Amino acid sequence: MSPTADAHRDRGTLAPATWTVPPLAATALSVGYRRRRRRRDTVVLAEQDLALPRGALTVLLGPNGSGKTTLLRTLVGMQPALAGTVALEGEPLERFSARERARRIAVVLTDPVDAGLLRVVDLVALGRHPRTRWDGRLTAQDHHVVAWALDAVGVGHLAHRPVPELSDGERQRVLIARALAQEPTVLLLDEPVAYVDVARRVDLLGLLRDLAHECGLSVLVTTHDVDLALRATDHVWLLMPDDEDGPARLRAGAPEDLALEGAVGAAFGTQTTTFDLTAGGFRTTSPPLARVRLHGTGAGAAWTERALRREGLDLADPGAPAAATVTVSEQPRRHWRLDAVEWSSDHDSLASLTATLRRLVPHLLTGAASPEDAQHHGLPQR
Amino acid sequence: MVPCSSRAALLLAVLGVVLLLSACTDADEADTADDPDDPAADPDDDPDPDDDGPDLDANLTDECVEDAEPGDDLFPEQASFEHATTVDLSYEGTYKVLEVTPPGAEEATPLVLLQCGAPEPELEGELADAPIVEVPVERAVTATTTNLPHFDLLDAVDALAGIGRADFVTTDAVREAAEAGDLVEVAGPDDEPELETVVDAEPDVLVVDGFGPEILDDAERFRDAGVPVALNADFAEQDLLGRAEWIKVTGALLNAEAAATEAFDDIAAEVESLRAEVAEVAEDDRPTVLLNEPFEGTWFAPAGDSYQAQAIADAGGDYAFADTDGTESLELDLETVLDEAGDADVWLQAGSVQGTYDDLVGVDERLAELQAFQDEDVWAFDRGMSPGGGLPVFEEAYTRADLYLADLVSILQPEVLPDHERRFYGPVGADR
Amino acid sequence: MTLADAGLRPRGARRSLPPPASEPPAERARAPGHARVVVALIGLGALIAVGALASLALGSVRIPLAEVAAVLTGGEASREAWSTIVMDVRLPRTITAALAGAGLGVAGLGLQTLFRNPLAEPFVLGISAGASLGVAVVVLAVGTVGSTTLVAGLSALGSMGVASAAALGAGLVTALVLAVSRRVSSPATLLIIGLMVGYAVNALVTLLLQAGLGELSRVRAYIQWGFGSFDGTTWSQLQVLVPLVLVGLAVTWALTKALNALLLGDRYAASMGLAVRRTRTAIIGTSAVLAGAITAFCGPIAFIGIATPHLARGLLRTSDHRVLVPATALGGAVVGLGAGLVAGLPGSEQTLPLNAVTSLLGAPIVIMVLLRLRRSGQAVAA
Repeated sequence: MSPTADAHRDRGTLAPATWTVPPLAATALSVGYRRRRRRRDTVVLAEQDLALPRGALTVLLGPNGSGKTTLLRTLVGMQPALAGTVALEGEPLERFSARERARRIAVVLTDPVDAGLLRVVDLVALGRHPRTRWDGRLTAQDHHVVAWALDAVGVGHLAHRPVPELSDGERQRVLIARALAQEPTVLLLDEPVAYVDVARRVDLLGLLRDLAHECGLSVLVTTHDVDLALRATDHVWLLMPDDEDGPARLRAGAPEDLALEGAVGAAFGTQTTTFDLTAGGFRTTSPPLARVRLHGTGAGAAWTERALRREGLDLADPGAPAAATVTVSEQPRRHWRLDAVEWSSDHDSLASLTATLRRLVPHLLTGAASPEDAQHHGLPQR
Repeated sequence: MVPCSSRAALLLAVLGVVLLLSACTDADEADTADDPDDPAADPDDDPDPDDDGPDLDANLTDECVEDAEPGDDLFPEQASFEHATTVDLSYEGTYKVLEVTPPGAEEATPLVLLQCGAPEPELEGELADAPIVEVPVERAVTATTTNLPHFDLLDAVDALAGIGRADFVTTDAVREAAEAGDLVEVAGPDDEPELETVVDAEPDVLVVDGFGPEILDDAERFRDAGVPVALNADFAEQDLLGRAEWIKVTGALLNAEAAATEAFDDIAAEVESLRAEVAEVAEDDRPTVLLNEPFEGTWFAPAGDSYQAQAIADAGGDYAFADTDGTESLELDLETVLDEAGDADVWLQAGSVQGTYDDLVGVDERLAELQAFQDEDVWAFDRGMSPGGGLPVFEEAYTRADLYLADLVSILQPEVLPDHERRFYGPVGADR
Repeated sequence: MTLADAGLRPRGARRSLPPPASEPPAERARAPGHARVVVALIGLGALIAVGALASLALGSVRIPLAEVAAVLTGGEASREAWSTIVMDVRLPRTITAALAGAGLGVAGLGLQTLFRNPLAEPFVLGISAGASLGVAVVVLAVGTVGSTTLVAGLSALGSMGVASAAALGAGLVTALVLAVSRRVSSPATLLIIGLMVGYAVNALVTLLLQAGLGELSRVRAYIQWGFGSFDGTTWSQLQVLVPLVLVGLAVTWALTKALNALLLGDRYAASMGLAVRRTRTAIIGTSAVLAGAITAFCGPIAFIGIATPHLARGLLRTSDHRVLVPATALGGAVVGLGAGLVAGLPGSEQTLPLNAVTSLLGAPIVIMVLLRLRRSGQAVAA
């Protein structure tokens, strides 16, 4: 290693030559728990190759209990790998001392933190630990970084408040700031959005994504929130649990690719739900009660479709038979018209439309006299 | 069956009355013949030669009496106490009453010493409940060691049946008896006499030190098991002669009052003689005296009215804390001792005759600041220690007040006793 | 608050994190409590001076102040006994009280932080029990110290013998606990193991006490030792005690950075580069040396170890060890001097057991401090 590269490495900035090396990678990595003596080890993930994309937000997505935390701990070095190697900046993880590792990797964990009487700025300043000298003295540069970190996560105005007085969301950000204060190249967060409500989740991931893009930070976040992962991230590592209790498999790629390939559905689907590719979400799997033709565009049509699906109805393809037709109009105000055999009605709201449909569907079903009729009306065979 | 004839009935009735009357008359005659309350009655000078009472000119030390009756005076030799304050002895013809007032007790605990062979007396009042010991005692078990010298001096070691712990004993004759297997050891792991072991030894009396709140309860337990308990309280005596006079108590148990009184009188004479000699020494020639070592940071020293303080005064010394009141121990700290006794001339009862001055430094290095230490005028009192840690100064010295005082005088006023060989005290390291 | 409101965009060039310090450094946030810290430390120092003077001037013997001053400044008193008293009795006692208080307090602070437990204190790992066992063996089973029951040769054991036995006992228990701590990762588990060791060792002491009932003077000697006292140390003993305590204080001061890192818990500390196992060994070892040495010479002294850190936190309202370590040391010295003064009952020849005084006076004070902390809304610091 050249001295220049070392210097850059120590400061956390990246020399161009190292751009091609992933900041964190694994080769033939097996992850799990070693058991004593003759009991078999529990293998959570087997012989996996991984490469964390640089300067991007990657989400490690998997159902509960699939081994996300175990993999994260092994990547950081908190837990030994069962087999294979983890490489940090291309070098095996074991070659780094704890301090050197801490200057490159920072974590935000789910551990509860009781900071006692510490103020926000003091807690964030703890992140300078791997860069200060033996007595922990903070230089001007240290203070500069701390201030930057506070600003970066938006808690600068809370700097002098005692940590116990903060809300959960503020505390979460303070912990992220602390990690940032380590000036890492890799930032790993374990379930950071678990107890955060939906709107803030998007904010948080957006923040992390911005940090990744703006500062070249390689961020890895674990979560089981599929929707969030698909919307708000650059890359996904999808943990697909094995059907027979064996180790999981990991698929990496862009979220949309994984969705379209059906991997998301396979990873998270259960026997009664499927991943709806079009809608981009999960719904219960059952054959539709009837097919309905939908006319309309924009948000009105999109939400009408959701309401129809909720009622167990499916959309009819153009030209295919349908049991009823729903037309959404935006002028003068949004309203719906329902046309079915021997029935027509107008509705001001989806509530009344779906209520009507609910009453209508059994009638439509029993009204079908013959299989040909059923098919003509787009109804399922009895 | 009712007799048919009235004359037979009358005859029977007369016979019965005559029999009754003759019995009563006998009793009356016995009473009036030998009345101890009668000032004219002189036991040695019985005017009625047909009287049943035994004619004794000495206490029976080896045998029981025969044909004694209540009211007979069986104890021509009697002892009385002039110096001891915790004990009292009174004579009631066939029995004696020993009253011991242990420290802290409000009332005396009576003990009835009944001449063996004599009929059981009718006891009233507080004596009704008192335990009865048959004297002379032939099998005594003693849990205390201060009365062992009594048995030795009275030549009655064979009256001992048991002791507390043999390795604690310093009286030679008793130790030999123990080694010969003649004595039972009755002390349990907590140094208290064990009930079963004592009962098994079938003693006539058990002597125990009378202190502690449970002592009377313990005595009851032994008594219920058939062993009467005599309390010892010589340790509560503050006067030298008071302690020594307790030999008369053992004498009373052995019916050996004469020998006991004689032994005591010799001791008392010697003590008085020494006191008189020392009294002539001028005030200025009395060395100041400090007593004892500190114990875990606290210095326990006797108060001014205590036995040791008086002994020091009798021996011609000026005890540093002589002007304190009471008989208990003072609890002093090092500061106070340094201040008030730091320059004492003589330091007694510190260190060991088998030890060194360095040992004292080991206890607390500031003891080297004491004047007596620097002058090497420190005297230990553990001479003659037994294998188990018993000390003659706590055994023989109680009775041999003369020897004890002589030791002290030879230290404090050497010109009075220049050639005395000390038995209890010795300079630190003298016997290494 | 949205990110935009916070003016999020981190300053600095792309791919460099954070910006180099060519920008004017962010204002060094002056802690609002900074003045408080300075005042508090100076105040504690003043209290130590007052306490030390009182300890030198007061005692069971009345010595005029002028004489005390004369002796201390190298002169002679009008009575030699007074010189001896001031120099050989009161001065060692004062030094012992101050150092013992400081040492016990700091030992307690280290353990409370290590175990994240406000109830931790130097004796919780069985250290005091070990020292008691050593003393019990020497006093009850072997021989007595300083008593008039003279067992030839054994009186040579003296006060140094008791101190050595206590130190040995404490050391053995500490070694046992350290050996266990290598195999146990959870601090809570280690704490419980230490408690169990303490119980077992105390049971052994009880057995020895029962066996020693045959010679009540020995039991009395042991109980007397258990009262605790600052009076027993002489200059030659101080030659051992002073360096040990000073080294213990210095090592704890050097561990300040590590202690602060541990505030967030073992995992975060490790992720910041702290060698947690080594630090744990160092903290336990240092606390054991401090508590063991002090117990060896002064007997087991309750309360100071557990309470002084809380007092310091309450007074200075911080969990930062850079402030807490000196504050606890100074505060401990004040408590030690104060307790020694009260226990000595100046003017009277009687003394109170030191242990009773520390707890009786100290407990209400700590309760008050904690209640006040609660009222101001801040949590009990751990």
